[in-house]
Amino acid sequence: MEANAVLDLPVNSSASEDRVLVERAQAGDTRAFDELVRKYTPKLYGLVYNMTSNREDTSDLLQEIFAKAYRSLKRFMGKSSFYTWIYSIAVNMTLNFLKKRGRYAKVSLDDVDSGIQNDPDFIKITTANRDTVREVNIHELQKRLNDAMARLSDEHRTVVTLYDIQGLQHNEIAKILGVSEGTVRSRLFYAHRLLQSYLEDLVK
Amino acid sequence: MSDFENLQRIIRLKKYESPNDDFLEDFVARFRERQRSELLRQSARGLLWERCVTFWENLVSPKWTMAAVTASVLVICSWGLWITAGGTSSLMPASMIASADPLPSALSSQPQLAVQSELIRELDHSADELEIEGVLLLSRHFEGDEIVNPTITDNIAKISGDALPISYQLEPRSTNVIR
Repeated sequence: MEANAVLDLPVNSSASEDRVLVERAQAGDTRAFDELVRKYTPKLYGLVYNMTSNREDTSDLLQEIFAKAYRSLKRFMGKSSFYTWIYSIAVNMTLNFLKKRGRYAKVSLDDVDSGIQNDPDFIKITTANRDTVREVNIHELQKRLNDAMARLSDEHRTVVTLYDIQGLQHNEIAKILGVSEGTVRSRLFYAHRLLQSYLEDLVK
Repeated sequence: MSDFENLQRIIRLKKYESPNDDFLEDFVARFRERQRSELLRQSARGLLWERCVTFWENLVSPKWTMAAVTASVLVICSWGLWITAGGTSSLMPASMIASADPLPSALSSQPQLAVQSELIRELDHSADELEIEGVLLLSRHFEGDEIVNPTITDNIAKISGDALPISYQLEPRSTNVIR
């Protein structure tokens, strides 16, 4: 999967296109729902994967999420956009899964896309400030980031994933989580402070 | 660049963790398979329920169906509660309830019933014997009145009235015998 696919933010997706696909799917067109699955799988994969840190769990959970969405599609009235709706389902199901699974679970991470080698941020981290920051390779960085994320609570990890990794806005996150924007901001602030302390040597 | 910006840049690097290129197609194919198998696995009860719901949806509007079902359930529940709360007792008057219990004991002490069965047997044998027996029967009938509890006489009178026509039919002949 292209890393760029994950970068496609829901806010840029065509809401009207989604509406047409939803209407067709509600009328019984399974191909229309397949289109929605294709469109949202990369985005939701990023969300679930970064919350669970497990490839197999992510794949299974995504199946459950789309199956639930398909079963509930007739009840989707279009009051919110489809992406908000499907993101809400995904977040709720993932949080429920994490509660059942418990805190300590087997970690199985995806390979890091080779595109990271050309990312200016990665280059900066691995090359700049060599006098203060020890050199890190890709896998070590991946492990460090994952460990830091895993130390956050489920709620804090959710907002960090949606805001920092998926690039959603505060108001969109608030809609998805069903909380106020203030709550989102305060959770983000607290989560960033924790991450800063966990990744202190990389950040400075 | 601030520490906060640095942190965000580092976290954003997680976007490069992604499944292989075949994942999406495999995932969609697996999802289709799952949908089909779910249809097959649907239980007979589930299918019956679905068919019933579809039938009612096509027959009448959901609003009226729900109203009718709710009303039916309420009527059945209230009837059930009324029955379990002893609602049947209010069907009978108090005097009948009071007399309901003593009645079987009164019947068991009633000699009339024994006479009746004896009478029937005797009738089969001969008509001549019946004339004599008729007198005996009447005497037995009136003997029984003495031992019946006075408190339940009214009830017995109603019941013994059923046997009265038999005695009544015998009465004219029995008077001839006495003469």
